[in-house]
Amino acid sequence: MQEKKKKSRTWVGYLLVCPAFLVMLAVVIIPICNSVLLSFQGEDGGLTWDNYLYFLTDDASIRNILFTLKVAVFTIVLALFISYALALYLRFSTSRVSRLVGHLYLLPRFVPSMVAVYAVINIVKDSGLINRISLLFEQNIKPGFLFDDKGIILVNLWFSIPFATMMLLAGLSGVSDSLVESARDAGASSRQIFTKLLLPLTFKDIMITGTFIFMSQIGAFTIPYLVGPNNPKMLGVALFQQQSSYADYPKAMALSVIMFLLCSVGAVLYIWTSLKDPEWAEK
Amino acid sequence: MKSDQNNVKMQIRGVTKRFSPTEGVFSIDLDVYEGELVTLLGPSGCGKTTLLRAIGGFHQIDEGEIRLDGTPIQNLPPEKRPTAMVFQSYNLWPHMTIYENMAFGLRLRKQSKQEIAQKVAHMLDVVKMPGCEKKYPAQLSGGQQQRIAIARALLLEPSVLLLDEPFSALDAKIRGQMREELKRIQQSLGITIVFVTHDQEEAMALSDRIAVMRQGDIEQVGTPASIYDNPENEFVAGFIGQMNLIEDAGHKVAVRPEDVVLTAPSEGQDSGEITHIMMLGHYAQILIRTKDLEIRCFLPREQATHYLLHQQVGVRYAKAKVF
Repeated sequence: MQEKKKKSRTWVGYLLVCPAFLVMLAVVIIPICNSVLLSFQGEDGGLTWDNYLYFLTDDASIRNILFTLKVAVFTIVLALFISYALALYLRFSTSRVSRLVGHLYLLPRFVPSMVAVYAVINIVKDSGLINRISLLFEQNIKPGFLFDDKGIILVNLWFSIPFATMMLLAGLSGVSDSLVESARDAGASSRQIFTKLLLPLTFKDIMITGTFIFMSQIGAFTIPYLVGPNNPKMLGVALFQQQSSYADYPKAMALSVIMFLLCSVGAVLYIWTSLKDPEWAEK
Repeated sequence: MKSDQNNVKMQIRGVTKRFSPTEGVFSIDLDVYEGELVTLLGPSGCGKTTLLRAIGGFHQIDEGEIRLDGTPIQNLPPEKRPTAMVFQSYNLWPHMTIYENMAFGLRLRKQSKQEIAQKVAHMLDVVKMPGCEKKYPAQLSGGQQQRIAIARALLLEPSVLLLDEPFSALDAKIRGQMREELKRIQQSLGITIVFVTHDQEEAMALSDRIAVMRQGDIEQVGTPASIYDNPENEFVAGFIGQMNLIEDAGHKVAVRPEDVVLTAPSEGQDSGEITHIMMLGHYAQILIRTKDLEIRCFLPREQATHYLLHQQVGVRYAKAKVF
């Protein structure tokens, strides 16, 4: 009797989950399975690795992957470097300027990306603001940033620096004044406080921030599409072309899976750093 | 070691640090003698921590001079001053083991590995925490962390050890133990200590001398007994220990609760009704409501049993101070 009751209760549980599960199945699980299946479909309709091999052996495709990784790495390194310096300033300076910057540094994030991209284009393009100002002084400076990786990285920094600064500032704010003061008391110079105290205590924040920027670059589209070169191009733009220009769906799916795998490297790194507390943080 | 009244360790002259016209410390003079424990005592906002941080170098002072062992130190940064500070919160560096925490300052001073190991082991013995070198701060209790913080500061061999309310985050029982421990360490090492607290009981228990502070000024400096028995003004009288403050013909008369004697209703200087009897361990507190105020009286426990609630009694003041 009781056994029966227990069984029926279990069924109620399954029934309650059912609607949500069906929605998930219809809009997420089945499309993903379809896409993965499609990525293995050859021209004759049979199963094949060709779509993947194409992206991993074709020179232009390999250049695209390397180009994307290069832009991602440069963006991460530059954004982290600049943001850490800015966050240090905001954390430790009590001046009026630092308070003002503290209020303003997030503003670039609120400018719609298209507007920001065109603003940067108008400044750095070879006939842009920099060029025109230089002409006034009888120079003819052409920055050469547009349709180049330098342009993508520059615009990326516009968006990455506020985000990274926010993350790193939160990390640095977690290091209390008295921790820093007792290190000074023990005789540490500013450089030693940075290397022996601040850097190890904010290592996790640096890793997580870097991972987020990395993942945003793998799938980036707007900025590289508007500012980047045609060849090599970033993976987001390449995917767009496979889908819209060539309408080669199996290849588009294969590229999507590759991009997903690249992102999951970042995801694994993120989960690893955020879940695994260092030994010292364990109670 | 007894403090040496002839040997001034630290001389503070005219020290002023202004945050605003009313906040800060103003024109402070204070001598601290060799081997002495001086407490800066006062309510929050009185400037005691400001003064301590000025000594440690964490506040640049506006005026005045701080001499330590005869040398002016007021223009040196904290890392160049021969002082060491223990802060209010547990502030061991969380990513370093206890050993690394303690060795940090010595490593910066380029001492040899062997020497460091020896000193750390010795200091862990002094604070009675041997064998915890490999632990991380988060694995220790609050009291243990504060012991290590004191040990870490002592390893820097400071001329003066500065403590900023180091026990205020601990519970009452541990706080008591830590006081005794600090007193023992101070006496065995003969170090000079400036200690900041808002807890008058802690100040009484620990100090060779107390400097009572209010609104950026030192109101009175003296031994715990002299401050308790001869407060120079109403503020000190009210802040240290319990005090009955009685208006009498334009004067304030201050009477300690233990100096209030209960008599028959007609025999005292005043009379009233007992409104409260509370046992506080080995003594009892009795509140007497007179015409215009409430008098607090401390009696030994057995004597207190002779009195009942709502009884009419007279009060006489065995000892009083008039301001």
